[in-house]
Amino acid sequence: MSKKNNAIWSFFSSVKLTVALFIVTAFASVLGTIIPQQEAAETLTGRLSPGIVQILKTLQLFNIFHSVWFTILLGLLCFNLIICSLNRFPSALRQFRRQRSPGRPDAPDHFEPDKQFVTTDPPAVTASRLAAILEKRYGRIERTVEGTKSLLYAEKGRFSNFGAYIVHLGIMLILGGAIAGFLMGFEGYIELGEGESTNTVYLKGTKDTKKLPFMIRCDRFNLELYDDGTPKRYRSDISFFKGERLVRRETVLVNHPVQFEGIRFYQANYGTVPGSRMTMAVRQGRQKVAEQGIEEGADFALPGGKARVKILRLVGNFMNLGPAAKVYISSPEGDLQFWIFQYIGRIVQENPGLLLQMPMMNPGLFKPYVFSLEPGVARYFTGLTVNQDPSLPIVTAGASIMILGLLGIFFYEHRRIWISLEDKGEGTSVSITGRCNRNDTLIRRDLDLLANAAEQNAESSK
Amino acid sequence: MIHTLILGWVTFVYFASFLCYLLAMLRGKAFWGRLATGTALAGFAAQTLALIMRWIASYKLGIGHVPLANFYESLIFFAWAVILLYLIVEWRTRNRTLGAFVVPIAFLAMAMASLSPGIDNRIQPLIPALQSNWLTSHVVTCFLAYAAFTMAFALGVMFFLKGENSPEETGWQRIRGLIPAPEALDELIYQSTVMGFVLLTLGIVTGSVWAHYAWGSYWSWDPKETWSLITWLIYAALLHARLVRLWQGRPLAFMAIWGFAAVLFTYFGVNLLPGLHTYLQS
Repeated sequence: MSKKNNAIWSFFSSVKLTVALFIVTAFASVLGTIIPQQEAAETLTGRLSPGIVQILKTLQLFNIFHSVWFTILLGLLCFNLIICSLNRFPSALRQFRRQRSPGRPDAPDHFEPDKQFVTTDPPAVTASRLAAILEKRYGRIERTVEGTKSLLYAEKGRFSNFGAYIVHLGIMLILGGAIAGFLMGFEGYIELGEGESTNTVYLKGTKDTKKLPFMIRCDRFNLELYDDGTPKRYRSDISFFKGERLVRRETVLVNHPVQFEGIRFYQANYGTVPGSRMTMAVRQGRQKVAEQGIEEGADFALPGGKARVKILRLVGNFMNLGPAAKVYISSPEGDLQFWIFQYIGRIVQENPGLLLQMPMMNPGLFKPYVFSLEPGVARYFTGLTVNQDPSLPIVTAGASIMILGLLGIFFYEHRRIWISLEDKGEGTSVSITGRCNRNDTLIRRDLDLLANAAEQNAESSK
Repeated sequence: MIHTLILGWVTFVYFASFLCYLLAMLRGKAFWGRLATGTALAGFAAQTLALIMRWIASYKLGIGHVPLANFYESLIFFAWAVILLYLIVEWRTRNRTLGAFVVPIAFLAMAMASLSPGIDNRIQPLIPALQSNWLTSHVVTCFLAYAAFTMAFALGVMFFLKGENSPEETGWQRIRGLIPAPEALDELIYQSTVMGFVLLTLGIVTGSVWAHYAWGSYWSWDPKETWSLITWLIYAALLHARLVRLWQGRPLAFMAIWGFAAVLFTYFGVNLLPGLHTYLQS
């Protein structure tokens, strides 16, 4: 069965199909942005009747971009692209390889020439004038003489006919690479408190986990702010361990992922570890006798074990005086309640005599101890996206090829000019034909230039 | 800030330029046309200066970055790109009618940036996600693409205004006569679209590479990404259909207008939907 007569082949090699698929894919994508997708769909499904929800779910309208029919649509586009390219490439290649010759069969002799006029100059003079212009703009010229007729032919940008194929090849590499990456790689997430380590990655979109062949530890997470309070930098210092051995220390920043054994780590999230918001320190004289991470409801014993401290309340900003904790102390000498402020030094400085008026604010109420809240001790966790994508070089190559092809299309076009000169005794009959594969304005400009040159010279030589 | 003041004035300069282009078209006098071009050039020069000043000012504030980082700056750059491309087209085609359709779009973008109360015109520091060398190449390619599509849109509108020329000589007919021939418009629509398409592809590719560095995936079907793909598909359809001479003239002009609607939604509409590109909301 010949290619050309096969109905299926001609269906899939049609550019009309391409245009139709472009429009259908665009329409489906519009739906994907106006219908809430995946998790976001839940608020919508709650308001619709179960029957309608069932229909929409069957049509996979809540997960369009990962649905079977959308994937088929993209598959059809790829198939169409391959068949179209296979169908047209051989003739483009033949055209490219063809010898340059003015009299070659594809010269549009059978078309009406774009310019036709008679000059008073002899053919040799007109020919050399036109050839000079052609040479300047097109480079090499081919000439033949057939009796009283002489032919000139010039072309440039022949390779630009391949532009579309190069773009298509690039797109195929990108899509192929993306599929390969999806099948061979993984994408997941880990969350690590400062000081914690793990080798377990939670895979995206599933409840599965994956074990890494090494351990990763978060040494420190740091958040920097600009003066106006907007975030300036999220920074995780991490260490990689093989067994017990520390192999490498790295810093992960947004836009600055870290790669270890082919696996990349991206700064994605952060937060404070629950229950680690503040530390309470207890001093006796100048000596720190206890330090304790605290949360509401926690309690701990003071040195000696006789007295116990219970945290009744923890407040981020109490009476506009900053972080504060209310403690309840039980001891053989009796029970006590009072507040401990992080910024007590500054508060007392601004309100002299305060501690005498309000003993409840005195951190040294339970003698001989002095309590304090330590600043800047919140423990952070860092959230890292973890992925392995072996397709990166393929996708990068595909993108570069596609862009090169597009630039080829944008900046170059295949221009061809045929000039036929015939000696008419009195003068020369000139016909000029031009063809361009993309931009008709450019070739028209060249034709005008040639025609004007020939005719003006004819005028001036009168 | 002196640069915001200049940009505010440039808004009115573009409006004046638009009026001159309109007068040039209605009156058919070359004087108005030359004045229009001169005004547009002056506005463009002032705007370029203001952009450079804003860039320098950001370094003086200690948060130096290209002025392409928030909604205000993107609108200003969009208007700048539209005027730049228009002036090049005017110079290449030696026809000024397009000015009456394109310059008002640049004016509207400037007016929105300068006058809209919800738009913060201060220089803001870059949040971590935007601290990347990809920022400039991504934003510049995308907005030059939008500007090229704006050109195609204006040409599409002109195509429909041109309609069929009837022999009687009314004022409306004379205006129509000044609009380039339908074949020339078709060619110009095609060329603007090709240029926009190449730039949009570059914009999507740079954005996708950037996303890979910042978030670890090339593509997440976030609304802005999806809408840029929708725009890309519409113009891809236009280019392929013209290639096989399926759509020429009217349908081509029609698609250039629809494509621009998609561009506008990608630029403005998407901010109404939740997603990763939320830096543009103020």
